[in-house]
Amino acid sequence: MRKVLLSVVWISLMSVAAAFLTWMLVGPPDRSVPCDAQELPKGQVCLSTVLEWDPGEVLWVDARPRDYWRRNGVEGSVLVNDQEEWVSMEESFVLAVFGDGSQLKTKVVVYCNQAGCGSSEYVADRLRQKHSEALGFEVYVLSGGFKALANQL
Amino acid sequence: MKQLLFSVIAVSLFLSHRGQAEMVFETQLVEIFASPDDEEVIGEFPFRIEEQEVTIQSYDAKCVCLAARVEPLNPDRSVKLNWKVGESGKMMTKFDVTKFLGTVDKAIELNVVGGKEPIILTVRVHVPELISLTPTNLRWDLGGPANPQTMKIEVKHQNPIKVTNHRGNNPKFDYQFKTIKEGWEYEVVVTPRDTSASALGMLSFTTDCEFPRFKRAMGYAVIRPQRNPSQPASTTAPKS
Repeated sequence: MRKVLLSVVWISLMSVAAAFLTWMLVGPPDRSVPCDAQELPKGQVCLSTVLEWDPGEVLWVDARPRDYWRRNGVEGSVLVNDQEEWVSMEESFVLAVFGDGSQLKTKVVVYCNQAGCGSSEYVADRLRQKHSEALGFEVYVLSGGFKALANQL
Repeated sequence: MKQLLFSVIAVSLFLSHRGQAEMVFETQLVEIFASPDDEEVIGEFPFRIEEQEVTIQSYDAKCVCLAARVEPLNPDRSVKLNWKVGESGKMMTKFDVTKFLGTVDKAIELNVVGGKEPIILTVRVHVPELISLTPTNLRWDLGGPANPQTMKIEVKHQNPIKVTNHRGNNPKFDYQFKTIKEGWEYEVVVTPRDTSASALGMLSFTTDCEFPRFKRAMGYAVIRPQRNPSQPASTTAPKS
């Protein structure tokens, strides 16, 4: 039994040493959310793709609860979620897409708390159905949700 | 060292054996048609345990609007996490639909000990839209003809819903509100004064509907440049 315990302690110490060495040589772990644009379902987009777009064309839509949006929503984002009265949020969204009319947003990117939370798909579907054609924008759901953003912004 | 190796192998075998746990659901998608006055709806996912006993590790609804509970409970009213072969139960879900319109999917993620993938249980709710605006947006091309366009308001309910007030917020758009059939059908004819500059107008309609979510409806009028067909909005979109 003593031998086993000694082995466990020895292996643990070696693991910690290896991890420390790796950190020193390679750097901190990559916490970015993996995303392969070629494998994404229709309507989803990788953060890396969004970051290549002209920021002036992109409108971020935060589909999380209002408190989260206030705390750390993307700068310039609008709140459109599935927990509050739709009509008022929709009004703010249309105003944000149109802006002063000189440069309409052509890409709307919706994010929620995490991948698969469902809110972003719901919001994206409604915005797509009701406004995308008339206002001339395309709607995407951010793959990985806010987790993908948190490491970048 | 041999003892250590043996322990590692034993733990691996135990974990892989536990991976065979079988919690069989009759369905993993429950579809519910809510009525306009429903504030919450209930969805049930019956299951039975086959081949191997199951221990529930966790379950999580990915929306504050959805609450889940495994039934039956233990005799002491605690959540029953350990299930024997042959037992059956159900995952009960309570979905708050007060803020939803149209079709919405929300999921429960259920993890069992030894399970390789979480079990996803989806509740799909259809909430009727009692008032429809067709189209929601009227659009004119910048510099194009300022011709009148019509938006239809239709009531899709068993009882009439009257539009009691209407308002436009932009004097660049003239509009005429017409009652076709009181409580059931209306038309709004919108004409821009000119199309020389981009503009956005909002038309707000107030109704006497008893359900708060249908007390207000919005329509939009927009003058904007036509998008150049050679430059689509998304040139780097992911493949479908």
